[in-house]
Amino acid sequence: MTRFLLVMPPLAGHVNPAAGIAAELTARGHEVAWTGTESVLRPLLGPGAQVLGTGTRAFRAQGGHGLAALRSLWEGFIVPYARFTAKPLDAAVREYRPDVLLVDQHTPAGALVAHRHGLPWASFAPGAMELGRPYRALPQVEAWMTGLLRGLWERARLPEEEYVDPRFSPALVLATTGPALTGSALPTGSTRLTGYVPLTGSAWPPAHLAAVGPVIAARPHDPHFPWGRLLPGRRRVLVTMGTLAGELGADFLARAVRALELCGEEVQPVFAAPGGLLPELPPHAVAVDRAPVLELMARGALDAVLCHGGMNTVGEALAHGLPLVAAPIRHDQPFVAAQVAAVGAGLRVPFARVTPERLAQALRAVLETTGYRDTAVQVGRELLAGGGAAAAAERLEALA
Amino acid sequence: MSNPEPPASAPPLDPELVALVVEAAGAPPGWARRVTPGARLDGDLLLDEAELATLAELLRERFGPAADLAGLRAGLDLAALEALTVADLQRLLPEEGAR
Repeated sequence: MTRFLLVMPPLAGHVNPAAGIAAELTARGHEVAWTGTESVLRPLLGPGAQVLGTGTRAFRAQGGHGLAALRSLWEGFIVPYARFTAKPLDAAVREYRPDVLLVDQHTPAGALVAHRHGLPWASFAPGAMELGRPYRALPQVEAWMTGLLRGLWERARLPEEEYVDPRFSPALVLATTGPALTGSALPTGSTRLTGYVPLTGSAWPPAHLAAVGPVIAARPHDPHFPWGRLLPGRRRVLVTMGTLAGELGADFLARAVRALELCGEEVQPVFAAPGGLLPELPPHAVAVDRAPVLELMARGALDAVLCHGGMNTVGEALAHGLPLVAAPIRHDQPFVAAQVAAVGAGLRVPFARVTPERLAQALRAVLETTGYRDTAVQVGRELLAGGGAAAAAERLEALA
Repeated sequence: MSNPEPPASAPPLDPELVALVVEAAGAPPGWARRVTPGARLDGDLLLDEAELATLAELLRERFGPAADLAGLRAGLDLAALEALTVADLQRLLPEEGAR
């Protein structure tokens, strides 16, 4: 039996896939505890999870676009959260005495604590923000991020000569993705398709990277979803854009509603979005604040997904053979959306600029062209071949 | 989204440059009116890294290696990248006679 400590940020998109790995570790007889913001972790993990709280403090909401969003992520969340949790994390490690830590790439304080205590640790990459290095064409931006991380290392009074990038454990980087979504599976010369140069040569993939694919954990049946409103004989599109806020979010949803109207009544939309952001909907549309996405997918209730290009949603959709239209907003989403388009499992549209007519055209294309679905099925198989939670647990066990 | 007016002294934009920005953005034709000299590529036009990489390639194809947006951006820090405008792009273009 091994004692694992999971260091996760207070973000559902990070905690949910880690929960699938935690469940697998527990099923194998290991002991698992979590550390982070208990007020966020507890509702996501349930009353049975062991949570060592690091205190609660409001951090800047994730928002904005492009470089402003990147600055906000690092200066408004990653660095201050690492500073705020440094001491409580150290206390959690002393109290729980883990054998191995699994540390999210955006909670670098966990890596610093593991290093201080000489404990083996793995990095957890639920997205492509660090793994895909979306800013690798901008060396000064990467140097700025490294400078912030080195500042945390120095603040933790760790020896400078021992510095390791806290986002990349030298022992193991667990990623809930696969080559199709990280760019390494793209053919040479595909830059024009994606806008990115795939990493090649000895630097990619790193020997200690375990790309295990999406972690598809069984979720309980959701009795609150209006299952009876799913109309037979219709093709269905799930619209799920993550945490949307403000004018741009409402504006995009209004365009999405219009686009799905243009697709005709034979296409039934299911919106997972805050009700306040949605305009008046046609009678056949379904709208909920939170949708049981995996259950809808597993039941075969969906035919396509319109999303923001977040790695979790994209991985889950492809694992169920569903083609995508991705309208990326920030961070690694443009990168992931570009990969989806490049492999042919869907289309990418510009979130801020796509017209309802163009969006309807993209939705019709993925619904009506079998190529997108066939590729989604094939890419989904490749992602699932990563082994998911079982493969992740095996790699973690090997660190003990 | 702001759409700053160009300074009075800014030269008019090359229509080919505007067309390439619209193409890289995957935008409808009417969006071209937002492409003003003072419009920031990041904060105003909301071009992401994939779209900027596409734009860099389009500029190089049309105007030659001197129109090196990728090279320009690679030398800038975060603040300068945030401040980069369409007028800065225009300054990368060779003189009309040299094209």
